[in-house]
Amino acid sequence: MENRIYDAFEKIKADEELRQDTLKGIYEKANKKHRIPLRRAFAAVCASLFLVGIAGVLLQRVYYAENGYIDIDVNPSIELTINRFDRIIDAHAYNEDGRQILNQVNLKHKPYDDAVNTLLRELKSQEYIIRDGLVSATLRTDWKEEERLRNLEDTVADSLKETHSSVKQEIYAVDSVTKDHAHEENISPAKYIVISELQELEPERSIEECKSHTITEIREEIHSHGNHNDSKKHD
Amino acid sequence: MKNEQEASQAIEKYADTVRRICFVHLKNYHDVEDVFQEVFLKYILHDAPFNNENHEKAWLIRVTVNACKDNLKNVFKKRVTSIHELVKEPSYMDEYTQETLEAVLKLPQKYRDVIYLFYYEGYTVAEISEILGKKENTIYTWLSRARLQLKTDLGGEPYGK
Repeated sequence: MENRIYDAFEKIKADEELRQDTLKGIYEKANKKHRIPLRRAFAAVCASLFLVGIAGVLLQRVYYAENGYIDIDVNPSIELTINRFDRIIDAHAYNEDGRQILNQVNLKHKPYDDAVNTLLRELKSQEYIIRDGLVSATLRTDWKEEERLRNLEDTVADSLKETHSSVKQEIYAVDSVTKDHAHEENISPAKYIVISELQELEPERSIEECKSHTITEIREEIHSHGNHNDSKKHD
Repeated sequence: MKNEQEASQAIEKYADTVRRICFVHLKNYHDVEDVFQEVFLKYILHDAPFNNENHEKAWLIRVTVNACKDNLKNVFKKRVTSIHELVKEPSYMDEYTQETLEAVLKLPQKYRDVIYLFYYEGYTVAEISEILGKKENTIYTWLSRARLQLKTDLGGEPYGK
C-alpha cells in the first residue's frame, strides 16, 4: 500500500534557486561574522592608540622626572639635570659662557658620569677651568643618597684628574629649597651657597651684585673676613 | 569554517530534508529561505566533526527544528498558513497530495515533526526521542494522537510504508 504521507512529503523538494541562494548567502553572512565591523575596528585602533599614547606619556614622565642636578660652576655655570636612571635629561646655562659651551657639546641622554667627563673636557679645551681653578658640583637630593653623592664626587674627581690635575673640586649636596632659591636667582646652587655665606658676613650684599663673580672670587671675599671657616656642606 | 565544496555537498544531501521540516513548521516561503540560511550557516560554522552521516543528518534535523521554532516565536508572523504560501510552485501538487499535506499541517506543531520523522525519514521512536530531545513515551503519545487525527481527517489507513 502506498504510503500516503510518505508520498506527499516526497513531493516537497528544495528547488535549485533555494539551494544556490543558500550557498551564496551563507558565505556572505559567514564572512560578515568573521570580518571585524569597521566601527569596532576603528574603536579598537583608537583604543590601542590611546593606550600607546598613555604608555608613551607615562614613560616620558618617568624618564623625564627630575631626580638630581649637577651644577658645574667654573664659570661658565652649567646645570645638568639627571633622571632616576642617572641620565642627563636637560642641560641649562646660567650665563652666556655656559650657553656657548653647551652649544659645542651634546650631553642629553648620556649617563651623567659620561656627561661630566665630556663637559669638563670641553671646558678645558676652552681654557675655562685653568682660569678659575675651581670646579663646584652640586647634587640636589631630598633623599640623602650618600652613595650617589660619593659617586658624583668620584666622577668629578676622576674627570679632573684626567683633564685638570691641579684644579680643586668642591661637591655639595643641596636640598630642594636651596635649589629652588638658586634657580630663582638664575645662579648655580654652589654659588648661591657661597653668596649666602658672604651675606652672613655682609648682609648688605645682594645676590644680584655677587652673581657676576666667580665662586673663587666670592670665597676670597669671605676669607678676607678672616674668621669664617670654609667647609664642605652636606645636607 | 567548512569550505564551499563541503557546504555544497551538505546542501545537496540535506536540502530536501530541511525543506520538508520547514514545510511542517513555517508560514511562508520567505521564512523558509531565512531558515535555510540559518541552518546551513550553522553547518559551515560547526567545527566539531560528525561521527557519521546519520549523526550529521540528525544534527541538521535538530538545528532545523529549533530554527523553525525560533522563527515562529516572532510575534509579527502570521498565524494562518496555506500550502500555497509554503511552496513556491504548488502547481505540481495534485489534490490528493495537497489534502494529505493539509491534514498534516492541521496537526499541532509538536506532532508534525514526529509524523514526518517517523513516516518519511523512517526513524524509530527511540531515534526521534533523541533528535527532538523528548522522552520516548512522549513520542509514542504524540505519534498515537497524530495517527488518530490523521485517520479522522483522511479516513482509512493513510500510513504505513
